[in-house]
Amino acid sequence: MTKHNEQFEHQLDKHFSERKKRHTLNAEQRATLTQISDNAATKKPTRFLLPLQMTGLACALVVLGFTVFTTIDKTTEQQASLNTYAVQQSNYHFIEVHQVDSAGSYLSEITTQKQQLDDKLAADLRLHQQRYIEYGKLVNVDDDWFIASCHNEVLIQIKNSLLDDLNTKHAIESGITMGDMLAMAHNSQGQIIALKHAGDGVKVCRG
Amino acid sequence: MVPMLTSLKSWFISQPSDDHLADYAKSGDTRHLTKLVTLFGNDLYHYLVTQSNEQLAFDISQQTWLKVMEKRHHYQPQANPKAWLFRLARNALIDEYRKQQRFVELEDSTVIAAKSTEQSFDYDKFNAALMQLSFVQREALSLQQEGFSLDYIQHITQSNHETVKTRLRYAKQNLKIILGADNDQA
Repeated sequence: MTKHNEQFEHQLDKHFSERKKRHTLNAEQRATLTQISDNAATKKPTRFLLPLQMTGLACALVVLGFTVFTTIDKTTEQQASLNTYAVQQSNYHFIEVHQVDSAGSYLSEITTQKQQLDDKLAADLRLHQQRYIEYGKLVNVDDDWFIASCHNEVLIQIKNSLLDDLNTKHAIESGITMGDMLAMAHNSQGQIIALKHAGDGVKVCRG
Repeated sequence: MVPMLTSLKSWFISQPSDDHLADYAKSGDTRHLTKLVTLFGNDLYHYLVTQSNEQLAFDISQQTWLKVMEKRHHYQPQANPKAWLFRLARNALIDEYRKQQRFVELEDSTVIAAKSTEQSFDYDKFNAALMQLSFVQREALSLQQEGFSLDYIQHITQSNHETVKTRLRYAKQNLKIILGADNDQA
């Protein structure tokens, strides 16, 4: 290589070295190029699919839950309508038992069927105790009578002892049969003192 | 049996290599891609600036890195991953020129008539002379200055060995001539 060529090659190297210094990516451009790779990391198909899968799963659960709820609700309604007069104590929130004990004293008690009553339910109970039901349907006649309040909230069990006592006092209207709407008279202590037909005005539960 | 055991061994004892492109192609881990941008980003940009302008060079740079992500599955480990990257960038640049319907001389053997070649270094003048060279001559010179051997220049430019040698010879010859002519005019 001649001296002239050596000089030229040297100039060429020098020029490209200088040129490279003048043409470099600035900080903003470097950041942009780096972001390309960062963005690629956030665009993995799995990360896109996961929320889609979770949404689909949630939708499926909602539909399943709705279907099950509807089915159970219908089943309960069907059972209630089919066994109009059957006594299924588990269907009632409260059971009141009224009777006269061997000493001739009037006894009444309320049994909660659901042990896990919350405070609200307890409050409802207190409210209920202050508002005696006046009407109910005679849903079963055994040794004892079972009278259900409207909407099947309360089942009143009148023990045979009280029935005998009321009959003795002629406080039970004659001709009462299962399925009749009954009117109950209470004294100031909430004790049942008479039973009779509800009358033409109250044939069915209202409200 | 032996090759299978060997490949199993290499699979279990896979150590990080110098080829970050291969590591990225294999794992898809974007940390390797960031490393590649750091290593080759400037060199690639400079090559593209030499063959176009700053705006287009940056656009093609971005396109190239996106193509690296798209085509990573096609990459085969090699001794000079930088050459693969430059080839990708060159194809993107030529595609862009074709879209813009700008003529790119891919075969050039222009020889400028010889004049005086005595010269002193002047960056702007040297740069102006460089920009007067044809696309392929300037490219050959630029890639050689980037450190690529004739074989790699041949690979990047998808040409043959003799063509690359001719381009380099003409590029230098023409550069000397242009610089000499400018000197004469001055």
